[in-house]
Amino acid sequence: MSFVTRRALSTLIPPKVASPKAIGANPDAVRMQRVVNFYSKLPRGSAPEVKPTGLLGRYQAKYFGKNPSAAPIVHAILLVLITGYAQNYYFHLRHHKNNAH
Amino acid sequence: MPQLVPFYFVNEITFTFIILAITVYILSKYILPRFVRLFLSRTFISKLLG
Amino acid sequence: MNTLFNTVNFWRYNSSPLTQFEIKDLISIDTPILGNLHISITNIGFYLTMGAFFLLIINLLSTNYNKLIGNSWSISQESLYATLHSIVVNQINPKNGQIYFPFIYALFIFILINNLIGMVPYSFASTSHFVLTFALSFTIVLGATILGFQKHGLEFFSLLVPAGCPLGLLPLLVLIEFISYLARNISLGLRLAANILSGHMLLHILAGFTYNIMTSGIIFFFLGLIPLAFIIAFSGLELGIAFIQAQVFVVLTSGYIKDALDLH
Repeated sequence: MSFVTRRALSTLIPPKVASPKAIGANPDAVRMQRVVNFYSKLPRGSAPEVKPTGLLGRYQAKYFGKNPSAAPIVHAILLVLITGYAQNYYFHLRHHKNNAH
Repeated sequence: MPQLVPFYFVNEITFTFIILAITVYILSKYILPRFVRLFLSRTFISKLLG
Repeated sequence: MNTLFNTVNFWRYNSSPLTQFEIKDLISIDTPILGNLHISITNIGFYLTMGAFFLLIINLLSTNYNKLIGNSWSISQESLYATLHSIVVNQINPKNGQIYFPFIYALFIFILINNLIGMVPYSFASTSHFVLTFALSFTIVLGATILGFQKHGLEFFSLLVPAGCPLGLLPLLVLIEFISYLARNISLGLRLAANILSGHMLLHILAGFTYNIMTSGIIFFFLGLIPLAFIIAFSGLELGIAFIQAQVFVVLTSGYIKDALDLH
């Protein structure tokens, strides 16, 4: 068969798209096998609960864990505010209590 | 201006450089690699595995 | 007249808007053995240490236990990382610039945290001290220069020659470029400190006036709410400046390092 007739035939016969064999020979199958292999080795079920230990661990579990909140920012501001006011009071403010400026 | 009173200049600079040096060391040895590992494991799971 | 004099004196000695930047000893040791060295923890050292402590604690806690999917705290840290990483990649070099990333990151966090600590009332704005910011900027420019000489040798001086300049103008242009290179030292540090200083002074002066207005009568109390609103608005502006100045400092630092690496 010459090249021309083969080409003519191939345009006449539709390509096999929907055949179970073609899907089975999917090049993605190897990838999927690897993905399945990886995920099947992972531990099942929900993640184990981390028991918080220590002061910092409990603080983390409370504000940084499951339901994070912005409270640590407020705590930091309060800490800076209190230490700053204490310093200002010690050095400065107590000397003119009734003489505000 | 109290910024120009030179009594504590050395003190300030010493504190600045010591703290900045410690920060760079701790960040580059302990904190920033954690981000790299995190991004790497995300990339591994979503792209490289297949 | 006497009262006026008293008021002026009072203003000068007690209520200057610059008293908030005074450095005070908290703990001090005299060491006659070591050449009469005063080893002291001052309030600026205290607040710098506190900033480093906050940085450490935040990074320690906002990890979401190393899970792949972050919560809002770890996402904030990741976006900070991504932002600074994009600055380093875009400003320095996608390939060779990455080793400067930890330094740029540390510099950004250091300046940002100290700016933000300064925003809290009764605290201390460390970055408003010119000595601190000049120490940083001079060190950075000097380090970039050393880096350039190390990488390019005497060819580093080609940084001072703009591309395609006529030969006759060369001495003048080299002089101008040299002066502008030296001016980087000053401008980098001055920008940060002057911004923080002016913002804090403005807030302090406005707050003093508003306090005087609001305490002088019941009508004035309500009248004083208008400048109070301005003060709150300015505080928001200062918060923005705290972020922007840290970012500008870091971007310019990256630009200087890039100049040393690539020579324009």
